[in-house]
Amino acid sequence: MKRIFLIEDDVSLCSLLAKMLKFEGISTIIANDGPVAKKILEQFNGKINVILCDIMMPGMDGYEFFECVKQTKKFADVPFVFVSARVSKEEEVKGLSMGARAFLKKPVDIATILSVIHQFDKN
Amino acid sequence: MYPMSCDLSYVNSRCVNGNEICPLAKLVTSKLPVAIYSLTYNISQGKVFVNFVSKNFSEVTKCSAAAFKEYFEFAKTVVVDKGRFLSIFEEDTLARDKSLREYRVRVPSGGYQELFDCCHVKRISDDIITCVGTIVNRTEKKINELALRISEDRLRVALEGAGAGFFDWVDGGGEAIFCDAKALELCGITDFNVRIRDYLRIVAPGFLKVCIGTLRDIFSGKCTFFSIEFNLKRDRDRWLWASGKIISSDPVSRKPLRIAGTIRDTTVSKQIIIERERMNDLLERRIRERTDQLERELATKLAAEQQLIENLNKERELNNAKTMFVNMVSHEFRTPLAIMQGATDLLGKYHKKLANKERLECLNGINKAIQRITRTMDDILVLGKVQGNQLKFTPTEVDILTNCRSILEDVEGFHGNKRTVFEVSMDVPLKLYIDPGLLYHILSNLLSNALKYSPVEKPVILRLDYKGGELEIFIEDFGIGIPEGDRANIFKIFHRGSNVSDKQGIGIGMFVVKYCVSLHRGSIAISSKDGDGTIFRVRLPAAKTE
Repeated sequence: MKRIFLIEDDVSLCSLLAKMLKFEGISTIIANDGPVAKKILEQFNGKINVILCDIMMPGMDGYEFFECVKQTKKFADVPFVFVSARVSKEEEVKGLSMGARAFLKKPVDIATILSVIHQFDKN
Repeated sequence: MYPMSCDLSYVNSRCVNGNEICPLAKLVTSKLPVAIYSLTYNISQGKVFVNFVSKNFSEVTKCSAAAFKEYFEFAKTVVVDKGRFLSIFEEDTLARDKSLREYRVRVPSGGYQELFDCCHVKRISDDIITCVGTIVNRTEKKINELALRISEDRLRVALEGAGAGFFDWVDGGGEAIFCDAKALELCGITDFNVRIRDYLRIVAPGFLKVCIGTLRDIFSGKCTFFSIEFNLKRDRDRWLWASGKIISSDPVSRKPLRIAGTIRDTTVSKQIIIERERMNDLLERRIRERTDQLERELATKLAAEQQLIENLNKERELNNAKTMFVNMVSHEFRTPLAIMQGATDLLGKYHKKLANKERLECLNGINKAIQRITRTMDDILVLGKVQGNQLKFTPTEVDILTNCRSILEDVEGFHGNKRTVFEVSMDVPLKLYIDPGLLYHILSNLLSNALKYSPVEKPVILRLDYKGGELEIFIEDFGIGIPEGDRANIFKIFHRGSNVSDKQGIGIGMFVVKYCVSLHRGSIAISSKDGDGTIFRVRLPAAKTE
């Protein structure tokens, strides 16, 4: 069973996504801000297939969290995808140049999210 | 110094031969630098017999006494002016008895000596003439006289060249001063009997005090040199320069015994100096004026440059703020749209797998997202009205408690939590003459911020009071506060506190609040500590209508 690490500060959106992924047979680990997400990274030892991360979050933004992920041995190679309401070209370029595999702009439908998950997981 | 001719006459009459003159000559020559001689001239023989020559002859005349005894030979070879030397034997001289002669002699050591010969001649018989004379060497005196004359000539030329006059005062002469013609001419004095007070009369009144002071100092021996430049009373454009020094003074009292100096006409040089000073003043004034003008121009340019920089900075800030605003607005729309997208995806694709409760949650989520988008749009529309000056102050009779409670419920409903403590003072009238639209924008934004930026477990306090014809609104929260660095900018458009993190907002609420308070002719004050809550106090003029 695939496992997605979902970091999103909007609780409603987080819940909706987690529910849809569950119906698709994908389990999720959820964090609503950067510091909690970082703590989970430190403590979790299981497999994560893809990380979906918002950019604007309290405590630590998505870019900072991505830097933390790249510094871990366990999850540095896990495909990292930004999902953000920040949609400017500068933000997209910044995210991708840091090494993110994709930059999804909100609102994004579940089909796109599933497509990205399956694509990167296959790779 | 010179033996009188009567004495010589006496000697000549009694001492025709050398033996008798000897004791007298000894007496005279021992006391005076005078050589004495006596001679007899035998006309028929054509010979002069020098009977006596004093022992100091050679010392006085620098000539040999033996040579002198060969009288005609002496006249021929030693004396430069032979005619004058031998004139004692001429009839004119014999008629006068005496002769005073100056003649020059060549001396064996080289050079000349100037001798002054004073003698008495007497015809003893037709054939015999006797003569007794004294000789004084005047060479040194002549040299000194010549040197003095040269010096005088030089001084006169110098004074004439400098256009200067000379004056000389000697103690014992009272106030009398010797002045040369030039000095008198310069001072315009015609009387040669000049006194000190005459000079003071020519001085212009403005210089009198300093002139008297200078004279007092010089005559009391306080100073040894003086120099005064002054205007003439009779001609104010004329300048004289008097300078002098003490030539000699009493060694004990130090008072001057002699003072001498020069007077010069310095009108031309003074005029040059005055003109130069005037030109310098003029030049300095023009330089100063030009410098002031340049400084003013520079200041204007700098001010314009500064203004340009400020305008550019403002424009840059505004552009940055606009960009930020667009990004924030985009974010504020896209997040609820993402919720709506998720909810519709869930309802559409997984409809059968959802329980009724879950379907209802999806619809509620969509509803909240719509409200959020609507509120953001409302905020933007209000901003548009503010910037278009479309918001007007239109007061009306308002049930203040009902109105405020309604706004509070609206805001709390949007934020989904009810934790506001609403306090109303007994002084607040039931109805006030107030603009309900402006009150809504003020209260809703302040309450919304208080709820948004404070923890849900802490209350928010809304208190109304009425003092001096003003409605006072206090809104207090115990949230994140406003950092000190943000307080000055908190009412600026698009500005958001540095500590708001990812809280929703587009940075126009406080701008709208400030604008509405101003439009209502009220005031707003902030009391806040970073991390320790915020109190807003708004005062709105509101007349009672009851």
